[in-house]
Amino acid sequence: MSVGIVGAGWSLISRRADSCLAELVLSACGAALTDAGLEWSDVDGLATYPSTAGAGGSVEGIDTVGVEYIAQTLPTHQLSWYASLERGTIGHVLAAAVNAVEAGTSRIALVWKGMHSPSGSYGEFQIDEAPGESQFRAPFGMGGPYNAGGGAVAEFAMPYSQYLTRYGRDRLEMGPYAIHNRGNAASNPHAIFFRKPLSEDDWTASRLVSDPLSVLDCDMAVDGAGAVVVVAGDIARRLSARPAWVVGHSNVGIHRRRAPTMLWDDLAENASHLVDLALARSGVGMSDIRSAALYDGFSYFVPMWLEATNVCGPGEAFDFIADAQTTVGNRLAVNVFGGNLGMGRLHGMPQIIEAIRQVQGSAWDGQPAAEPFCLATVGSATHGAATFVLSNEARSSRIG
Amino acid sequence: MIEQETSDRRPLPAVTALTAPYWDAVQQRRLAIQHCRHCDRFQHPPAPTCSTCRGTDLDWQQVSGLGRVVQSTTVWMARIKGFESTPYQCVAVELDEQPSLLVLGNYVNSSDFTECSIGRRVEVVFEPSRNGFLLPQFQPTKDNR
Repeated sequence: MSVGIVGAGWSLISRRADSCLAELVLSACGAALTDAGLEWSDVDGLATYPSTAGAGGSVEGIDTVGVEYIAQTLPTHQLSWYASLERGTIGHVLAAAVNAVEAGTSRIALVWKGMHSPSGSYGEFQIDEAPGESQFRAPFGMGGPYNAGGGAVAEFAMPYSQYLTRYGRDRLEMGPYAIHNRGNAASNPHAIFFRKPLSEDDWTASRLVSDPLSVLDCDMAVDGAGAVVVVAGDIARRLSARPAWVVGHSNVGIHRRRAPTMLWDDLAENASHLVDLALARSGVGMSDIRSAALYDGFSYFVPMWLEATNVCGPGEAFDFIADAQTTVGNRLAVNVFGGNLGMGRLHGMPQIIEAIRQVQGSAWDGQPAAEPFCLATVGSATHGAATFVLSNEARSSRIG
Repeated sequence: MIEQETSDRRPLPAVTALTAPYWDAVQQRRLAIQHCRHCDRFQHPPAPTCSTCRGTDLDWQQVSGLGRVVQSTTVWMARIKGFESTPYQCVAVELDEQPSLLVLGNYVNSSDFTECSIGRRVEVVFEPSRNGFLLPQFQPTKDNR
């Protein structure tokens, strides 16, 4: 058995969409199916991670688009499999779909992620009594993505402060990555920052949200959706679309230390483990991989994932970046499409779709050749994360 | 010290049976942490069972309130009700009683509370929030001891 991703698609991505989330999700799913050369009626599996955008509501079709919503658009045929996860990331759901197709419980699985950014300030925490474990954070002005989230920036800033202090680095050293990345996004028509590069002055003048994170270290809330189609190997070979083969994956980014927040070590250890597992299962060495799509909902996840791949040592990611090693043609081309910082807050779907594009050879106009491999990492390493090794050739994966 | 006003809108904890011993102790100006009588480990936040040995024989023990800042952030743009008056600093404090035993709070009573406080020795201090409810906060110790 082997599993291929044969189609990918985006809806329009904008700061505030004129159309509702259901329209965006249907548009992305339709685009992914067209890209694959398949019809809605071919789909037999559905999977999504229907998270709301912070303090948004939970109206189906408006705030989230779950599996039932899509299943109800397919009334004429029986599905054979679905998955919907409340915790984790879209990466977990994609991994579940890959496993389902590998196991034969689904043959053609549609996986989507819709994000709705309600009007008002994204992720506000506007309650008087902080429930669950947020009661140990919110009274001090810290939020978090778990139970009644909001105000997560302060919580995510803290491990970064630990990283910078431990290795004697400065937050401004992110500049070369942030500026180059926005250059990448500027040529990506799907990106929220399409044709909007960042200058050195923009970077140094950006306002701090929660030190060491500035506005430009955080991805921008958007309305949008992305979708991919995961199919069994025999189907992938029959279709005209060039498949991105899933040759290894892992999805164990879980916070294992009982604590009110995460330490840098929790993130770094988990990220390394996630990368090691996906590589071991694929039989591919990091030395074979020249391209990576690294989740960057907060900028510092890029150094976290870079160090997890061992392309540079602990605390050395900024040197690696300053040396232009993350640009095309050098050691590891990172986020050539602009990442979440350039595309908007789409929770890991940019990494998945753009890794697919790179091994298909269609990541940008005139991409000289398909990348033999691309590593995609999805999510923060302690709040649900998954990694994938995609290849332009089918291999016998050693999953399990 | 975080300014206390009659219009204080900061969130308070939704205290449950599990978390009441923590907050009750704080109201008596004591810092108490859940502790496993079987493996002698502290854990925070509290849980129904021990996260180290899965034991069920848990009690609460008062701790010194002394520790070291391991993470900090100065918040300039707040997204939480009641914290509109920025900046303020949040810290993760590793308590002296056990490695990686973390408690969160605000960094208060410092001459420069926007400066990164990582590595600073701190002690707990109890300050009123909305309706006089006390919160455990952390201030620098004298001479960093």
